[in-house]
Amino acid sequence: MSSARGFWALPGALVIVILTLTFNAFGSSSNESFSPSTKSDLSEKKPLSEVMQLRGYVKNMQTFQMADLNYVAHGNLVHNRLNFRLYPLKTTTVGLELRNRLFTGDLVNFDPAFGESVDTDNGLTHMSWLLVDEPGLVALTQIDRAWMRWNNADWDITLGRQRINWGLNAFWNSNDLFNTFNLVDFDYEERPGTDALRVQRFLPSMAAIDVAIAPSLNDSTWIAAGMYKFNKRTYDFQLLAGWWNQDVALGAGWAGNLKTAGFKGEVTYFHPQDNWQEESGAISISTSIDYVFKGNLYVMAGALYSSEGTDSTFNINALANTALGASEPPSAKNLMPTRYSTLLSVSRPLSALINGSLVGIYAPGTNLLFLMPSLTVAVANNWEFAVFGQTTFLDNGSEFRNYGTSVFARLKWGF
Amino acid sequence: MKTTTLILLSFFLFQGLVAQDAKEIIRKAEEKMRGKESAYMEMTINTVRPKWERSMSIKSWSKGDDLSLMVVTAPAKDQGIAFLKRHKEVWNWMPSIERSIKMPPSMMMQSWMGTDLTNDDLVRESSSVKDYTHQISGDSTINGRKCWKITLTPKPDAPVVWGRIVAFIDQENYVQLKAEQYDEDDFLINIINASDIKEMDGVIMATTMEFVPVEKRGQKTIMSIKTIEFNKDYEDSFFTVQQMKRIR
Repeated sequence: MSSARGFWALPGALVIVILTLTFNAFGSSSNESFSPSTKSDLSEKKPLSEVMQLRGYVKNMQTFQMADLNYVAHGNLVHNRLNFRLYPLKTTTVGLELRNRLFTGDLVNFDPAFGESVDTDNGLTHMSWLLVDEPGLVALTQIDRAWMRWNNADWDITLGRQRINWGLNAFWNSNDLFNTFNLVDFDYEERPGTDALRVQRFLPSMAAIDVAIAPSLNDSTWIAAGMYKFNKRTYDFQLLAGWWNQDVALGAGWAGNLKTAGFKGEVTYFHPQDNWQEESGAISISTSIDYVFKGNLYVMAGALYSSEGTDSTFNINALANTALGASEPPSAKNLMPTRYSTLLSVSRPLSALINGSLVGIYAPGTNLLFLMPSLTVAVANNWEFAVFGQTTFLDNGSEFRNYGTSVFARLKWGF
Repeated sequence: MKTTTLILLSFFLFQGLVAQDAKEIIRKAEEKMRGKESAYMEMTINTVRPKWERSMSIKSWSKGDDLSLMVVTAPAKDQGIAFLKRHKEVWNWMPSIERSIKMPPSMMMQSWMGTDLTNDDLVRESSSVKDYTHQISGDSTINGRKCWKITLTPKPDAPVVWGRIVAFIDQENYVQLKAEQYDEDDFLINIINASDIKEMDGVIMATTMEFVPVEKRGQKTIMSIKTIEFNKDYEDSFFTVQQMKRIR
């Protein structure tokens, strides 16, 4: 596997170089102007900041993990993200984003395989480098975006490692076929990228056709799908169909308003490709309503039905490799390990600089309860301090009890 | 009987004329900020609190009442956050998580990014011309300028967050010099003071607006227009979700 990835690395880089050249040639022949504020700037010399941009942040996060109250494991993570943008031409953008992380503390100390467990890359080329893998110290660099985009008023073509976000619902997104993410990994808000080609054709009245192909080194994990989006009666709608790993996926989503509340949802049906007779399709239905009350109190209530999930009590071990386990991210087909899940999210500014929020997930049937409170403080213009908590309760068949609590304290500086 | 009808009729007619006038004044005042066709604007938004101050910069494009696009250009951590309005719909783009979110109307009353402005103040989902009925409720003088005092009452189904607005419009140049925003229980929430009146792209207008929340001492938000360009020819396709994601 790793040699196959090595094999892909060189052609991957070559493709990027060749595309840069082609797009440049293509772009310069097109004098399509799109941004009205820069209508006449093709001939003008642009300042460097217009052509190149570097943004990012540095975060330091302390983690305190409590399996029970007798012992607290401590970990520290220094996390730097760099987002490069290159705008060689009006119609061409190149994006490169990487994350550098340095882990120390008990969590790294106790687990000799920790380095290996974070050094993952599901893409065509392995763009994750474990720089240090010592007991108590793990450092790694990962590239999670590396794409080139060509666009004009009607087209948008993006090739490379990118985020293809097809979700419309506020929380559980079964239409989001190209992404896997970890529900509890709040610290990775950008989410992993997908190596793909995406072509979008924009039509009048906010309609669009969106087609994406994400090849894989493994024949059984290709994803290729098309989506038609349109806007009708103040609702955004989308219809999608495609191959998703070993399934055929059909889906629909909507985002609109009920009176003054937001009303969004998604439905996706997965059916095994090689067995049309088999009645083993999976369906995922999610919906949410959100509303802002007086005093800036934001409330979102959501529900998910996932036919793949279980609705009886289960062991905590069954949680591993699912949404609430850290090792394997959940997929569009398997957003939760439970069949019925409900969500309530409230947030409110406590002062002009402090924001408090609480996300609660409860799964009836399995009696799973997950709570995530947070407090965010805007310390200065580009500084933010935040405290997050996560706690899981589960009915293991004989009792409803706590299965671990974590507290995270994070300082972030953006530039 | 005929006379009474005539008197009544002329009274209603007169009423109608006055209402029309008030609406016309508001329309002219609004046109100052939006241009006859369209406007491009660069401005800074300073949030002032007793112990600290924050500064943001934004760019905005608008075409008529119905189409607008706005992007945050500073500070760094918020750069690229964009808002799109098309008719009665509003979307928000969060570049850090690469996600566009359709905003429910109830979110329009929410504070805009920690300032004293509401989303509606900036995104302008509601139109002070179309979504209100207007009535001249007197004359007034502000900074030596003679003004009309006009009360704006929201129409029943309008996507409006205020109970009523009292606007003070300069009788010479149709510049809105002051406005008072009242909530649905008729409590005065914000006073908006306009100043730095000068000519921008051929239009005499106020280039500084102070939003002062009445109940919060030492607190205000100051919007200052740095650049404004009127009546550029923007295509409707400029005001779309895909453009919101690209705009810088």
